[in-house]
Amino acid sequence: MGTTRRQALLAAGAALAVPAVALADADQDRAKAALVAVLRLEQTALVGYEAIANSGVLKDVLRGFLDQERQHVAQLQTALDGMGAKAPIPPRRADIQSLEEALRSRPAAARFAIDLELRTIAAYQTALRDLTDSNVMRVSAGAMGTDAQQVVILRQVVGEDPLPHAIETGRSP
Amino acid sequence: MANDSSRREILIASAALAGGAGAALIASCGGGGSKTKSTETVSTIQMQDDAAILNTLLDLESSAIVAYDVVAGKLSGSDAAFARRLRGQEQAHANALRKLIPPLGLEPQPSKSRAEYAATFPALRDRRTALGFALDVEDTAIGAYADAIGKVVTDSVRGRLAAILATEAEHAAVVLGRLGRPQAPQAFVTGPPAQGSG
Repeated sequence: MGTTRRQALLAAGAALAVPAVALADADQDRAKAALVAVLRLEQTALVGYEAIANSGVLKDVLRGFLDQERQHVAQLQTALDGMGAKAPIPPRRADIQSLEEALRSRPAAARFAIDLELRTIAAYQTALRDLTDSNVMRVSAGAMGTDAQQVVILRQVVGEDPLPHAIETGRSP
Repeated sequence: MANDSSRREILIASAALAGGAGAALIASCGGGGSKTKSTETVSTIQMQDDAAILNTLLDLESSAIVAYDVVAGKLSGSDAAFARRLRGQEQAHANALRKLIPPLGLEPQPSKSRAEYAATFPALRDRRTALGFALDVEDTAIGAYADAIGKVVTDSVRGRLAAILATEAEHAAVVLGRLGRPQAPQAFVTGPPAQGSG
């Protein structure tokens, strides 16, 4: 009888433990996927802005951004490494959508960058819901804030309202 | 005129007066480290801790609304219109926070009187000190939201706080521009400790 009770308790424990482990794994996978999505966008900015600045378009603005994007990429790679995940391979210039048009003029370059930064802000906000490590959350929030400041500069370049939304989600309202 | 750090202390102290436990949580920057959260069911106590943090942020936003009234009064032309615009966006943040709190099991705390907030503000002599105070308001908000994001366990609430933080960072960029300073001075916005100088 004692053995049976122990077995029953062990079985009950196992039934509870397995879903908990599975849930933890699922959370970790979701957090990794969210960070990978952000990193892809930051890598795209790094490659894209380098190409645009090298062509002489919007160079004064993008040179400053490049150093910041490099730091964002480095921190995201470190975070992914800490989670046991591999960082994605950066995109090739030819694979970046709309980059060729962005090389043609200052407003086109700024609009390309605004679109990319807004998508990055939205991706950070998704990641900040899915992340489980508070230090990675704070770093991600700091990088997202700087990307939002870059958007303000870019909106001013094209003569747009720098503060169109009371709550910046990175998406159209 | 208070210096930069003392102005921030005043703002944070103002928020702490109404924030109670939540203020203590936000004021303590450390802690950090890894914490697995979302596999756990968020308990009633955790939800109420989150609500307390949101109440502290709400008090900070209420303070910012009054601050921008005062700042707008010291400015003219497009600067004054800009200050009134930021006031409106801070009001939108306060409204968003008020909606987030009840589902977490607490009621939004009522704002203090305008005089109570204004009593904690520095004297604003001219355009530059008014805009400098506006920058302090934004930097304080950035620091508070960044810290809250690292502490709140309700995933959807963290996402909303991140969107407000992004807006506060945009506000800071525009204020920096009006002060003739670089608008995105750092790779990571952090709020008061790291962004104070420059």
